[in-house]
Amino acid sequence: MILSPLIFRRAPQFFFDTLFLIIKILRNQKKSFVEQFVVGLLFGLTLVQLPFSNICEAQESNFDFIARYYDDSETQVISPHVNAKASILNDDVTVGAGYAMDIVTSSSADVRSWASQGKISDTRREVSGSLGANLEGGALTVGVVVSDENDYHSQTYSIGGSRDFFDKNTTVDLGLSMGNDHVQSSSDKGFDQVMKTGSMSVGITQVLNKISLMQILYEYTIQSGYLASPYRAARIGQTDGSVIAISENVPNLRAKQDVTLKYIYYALGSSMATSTAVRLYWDNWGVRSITLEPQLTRDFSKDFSMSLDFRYYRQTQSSFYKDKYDQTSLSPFLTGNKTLSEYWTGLVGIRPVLKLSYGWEIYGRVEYYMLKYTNFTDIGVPSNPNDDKLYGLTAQVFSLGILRNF
Amino acid sequence: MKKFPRFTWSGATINMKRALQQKSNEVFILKITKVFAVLAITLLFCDGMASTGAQLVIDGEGIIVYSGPSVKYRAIGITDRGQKLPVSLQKIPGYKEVGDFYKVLVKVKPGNRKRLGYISSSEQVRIEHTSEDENIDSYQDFLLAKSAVQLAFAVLNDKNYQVALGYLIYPLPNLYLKAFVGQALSLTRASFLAGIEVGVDYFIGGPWSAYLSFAPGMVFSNGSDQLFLGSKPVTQVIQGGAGLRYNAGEHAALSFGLLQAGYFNTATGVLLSGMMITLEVGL
Repeated sequence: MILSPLIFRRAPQFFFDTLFLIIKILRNQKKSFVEQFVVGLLFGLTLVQLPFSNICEAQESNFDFIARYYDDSETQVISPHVNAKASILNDDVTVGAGYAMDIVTSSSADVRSWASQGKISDTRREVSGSLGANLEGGALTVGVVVSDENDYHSQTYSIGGSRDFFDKNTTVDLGLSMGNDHVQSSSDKGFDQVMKTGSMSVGITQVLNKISLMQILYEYTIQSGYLASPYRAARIGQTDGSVIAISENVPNLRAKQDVTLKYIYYALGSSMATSTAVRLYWDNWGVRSITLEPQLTRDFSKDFSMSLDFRYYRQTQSSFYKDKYDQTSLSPFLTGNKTLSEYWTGLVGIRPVLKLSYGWEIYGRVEYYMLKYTNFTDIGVPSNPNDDKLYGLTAQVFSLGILRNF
Repeated sequence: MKKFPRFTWSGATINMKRALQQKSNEVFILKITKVFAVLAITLLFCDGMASTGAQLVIDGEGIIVYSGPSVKYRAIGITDRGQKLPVSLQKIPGYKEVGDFYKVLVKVKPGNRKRLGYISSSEQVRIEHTSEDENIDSYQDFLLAKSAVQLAFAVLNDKNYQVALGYLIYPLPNLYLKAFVGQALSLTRASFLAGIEVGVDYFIGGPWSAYLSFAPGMVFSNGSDQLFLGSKPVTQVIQGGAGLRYNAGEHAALSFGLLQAGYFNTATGVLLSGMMITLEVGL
């Protein structure tokens, strides 16, 4: 038996401290009933699980805390996330709750060019809760996610289920979610626009043999309402080479579709598993994309494993996107959203996992991320055409997490 | 002086017979006592011999449990080899088909509740006696239809409606496929709607089940802007639903739940959500 280092013996105390901090933060602000309920549930689950884990009789109960740090030299994001899940009533019911924060400081190209202070900072808080039932031949789960930041409020409700067939060799998944977002503006207190999101998905997972399985998933998402940003501006090139900005105007509906094909293979002799995923995406704004995501995982011992993964993403621009619009031939739809331009990204990540005694796990993740825009220009100072350059960035992401299984 | 009876051959014969009979009675009583002792010990130490009920032992692979005494009823589960199910010894004649069915109890989640099912007697199964006696006839029959005609009506936001007639079939236990045609309606306009649907069903207790569905389809209109501002004569629709179904037995079911529908084309579209009720009549 591996002896846990002192820090992990004290991890429950650390976890409680984190939770108390979250409660303290929430108490200082006006929160909705749903948020208070989910945070209370999260706290309650943790309270039940830590000292009295035996009474849960659970095989799937766990809690997970992860802190993530993103830095691309222009934007820094600190993201602590905590999740707890408990299986109760003879594993017939699962209850879960989570809390996440994204603390953002940014001086990205858009912000430098158009924001009054050249730098912004914001904090996003998200609470989530789920209730699942293990039913005959499958499971059914309902969930809610509430997210809040200074100028954006989002609520998403979901229901999803899976059913097993042919001795659990085939699994069918169906999902449905509905979201209601309020887009606001920190510079205009009266600004409040609604965006609705609906999503439906269907997936099939097929075990091919003892060492491989294949999964295919189709998802349809439709967004309706205000899909622009009150801060973003479309750039209009002037005859002297300088650029002015006008508020963007985009269609009020976006229908997104994607198909993901995933193949997982486990090499028994070498204790290695490979996973390869290909995702194709298209929408009615003309954006097409492909994502390739191979992953390699190896168990070095029964307590230590490591994953290496890559991701390549490439997309075309939307039909109405232009880096700079021509003042003499303006189209009805104008956008300054660089995620609607043509670009590609690459990511390489490594994730070690160390299993400790008493169900504890510690895991980390280091990622190197690269993004290059093909037709989005960092215009620098808008009145100076000489400092324009194609935009791109590289980022490092560090994550550290602890997990306790019961 | 004690007088001895006079010896006679007949008297000797009678006495010998009596002695033999007495001996025979003693042997008989001894034998009976031994048998009772063995039985008593057997009853004390071997519960299995005290058989009052029966169970069906599944010897074949993938034997289907139906919700009624016919393969035309909807399957409610598939058994594993070696599984033992409480069974009624009285076979049930197949409904409108040749052959008999065993009436069995299957355990279902949540809570491992027992549910009545039927297994064809022609399958690889055998009966085994057991000490556990289940009053199988006290459980309710559900007799769910394997295929049905379904009438659906949905009330969506912005005064939009859907009415559709569909044919659904359960090719696997708790997974259905449906083809439907109908109309996408507003207060003043109607468009032809057609699509297919895949759905899963979960028994949650008694006659109630929960369902999830996913349905792509097409809407055909007389012209542009009929379905929504910017719609074309041919519009795609993708919709999903979730809700509860009440299986009334004898081929009828009623459901109600949420429906979310996205009508869209390459330029624009509309996202609608609302309530849907359905009525099913089994075939």
